[in-house]
Amino acid sequence: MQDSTSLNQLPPSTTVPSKNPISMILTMMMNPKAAIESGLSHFPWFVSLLISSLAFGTFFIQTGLDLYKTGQEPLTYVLIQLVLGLAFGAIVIPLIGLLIWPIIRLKKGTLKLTESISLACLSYGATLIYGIVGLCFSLLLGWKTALAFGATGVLWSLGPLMISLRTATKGDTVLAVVLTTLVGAAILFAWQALQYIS
Amino acid sequence: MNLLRHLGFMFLGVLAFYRPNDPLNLYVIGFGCLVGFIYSLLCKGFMHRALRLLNIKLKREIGKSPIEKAVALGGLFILPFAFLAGLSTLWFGWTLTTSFVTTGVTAIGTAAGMEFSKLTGKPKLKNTLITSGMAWVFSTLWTMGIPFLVHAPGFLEGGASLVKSFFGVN
Repeated sequence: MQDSTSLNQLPPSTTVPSKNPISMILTMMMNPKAAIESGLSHFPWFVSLLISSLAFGTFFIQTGLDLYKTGQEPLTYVLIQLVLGLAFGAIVIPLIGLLIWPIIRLKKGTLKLTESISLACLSYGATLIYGIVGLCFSLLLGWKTALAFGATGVLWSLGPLMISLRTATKGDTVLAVVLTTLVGAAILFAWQALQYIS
Repeated sequence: MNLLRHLGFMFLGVLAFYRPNDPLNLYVIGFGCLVGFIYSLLCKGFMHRALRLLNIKLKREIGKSPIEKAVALGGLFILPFAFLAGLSTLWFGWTLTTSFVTTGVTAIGTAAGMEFSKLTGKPKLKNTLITSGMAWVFSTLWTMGIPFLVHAPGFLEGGASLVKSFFGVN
């Protein structure tokens, strides 16, 4: 549904733009709209790339660790998963930002290409937090955490992604819902395909 | 919008009781739809009424309808979660429906708060807190409630078989 309210008329953001990655991750998790409106242009895009890379690195390594603990795979498999995850976050997620950028521009959004990449990457801040916590539980307590923490972290990122896209497309809720569904499905399929290949 | 939200929750309800060895069981599908529909009604009803109660002055100025529309628009945010839950359960064979529902309801709460803030002109902490609080309550309700209800379709099926046997119907 196209919203007639422009970004300039939307309620003002309450968050000060920040270059601090931790502050940016938390803002994207709790108030993505404010992060998009005030913070993305001030935030280095390559740092956001690092955040999504680490997010998927910590997620994928948990998949490897789960299989290593049950003796199904050797330690090298864990390392392969880590490398795959880092690459996935550094290549696939920015690619999503690249693909949604023309759509944002078509909807008269003002985000630059680098900001669109940052939007996609920073949406996975929640995945990074879940990934770090899951990795701690996996290494310290020996739990199987790939689904409970890894996949759940990816799910938690869908909310910020949807709200970010809605903000970037000037309040188009339906487009945000459709794009988030496509992005979410693409990530699930890509993850499954990588598991199959590796 | 309301229909789409109801359908999303009904589908999530079906997935919550899904049996991989008996995927087309009508009792499971029917009960899942019923649970999802009731959950959807309660979720929207409580969120809508709480926002109305907290903003009586605004309700007098603009009426009930815009508030209801804001909550309904936020409810659309469940659709990606319903679709991806279906994909993960039916295609990948994962059992993550509860995670999808809890994250989806949280997204709905945030979205409803955002849509509502457009009516007030600026975000108000009380509205954000009430929609997020409601989302948390409903997430907990699903997480705690589904394990209690998981055997209900089986009981329904058993009861129906018993009644049928009384009447000599196979």
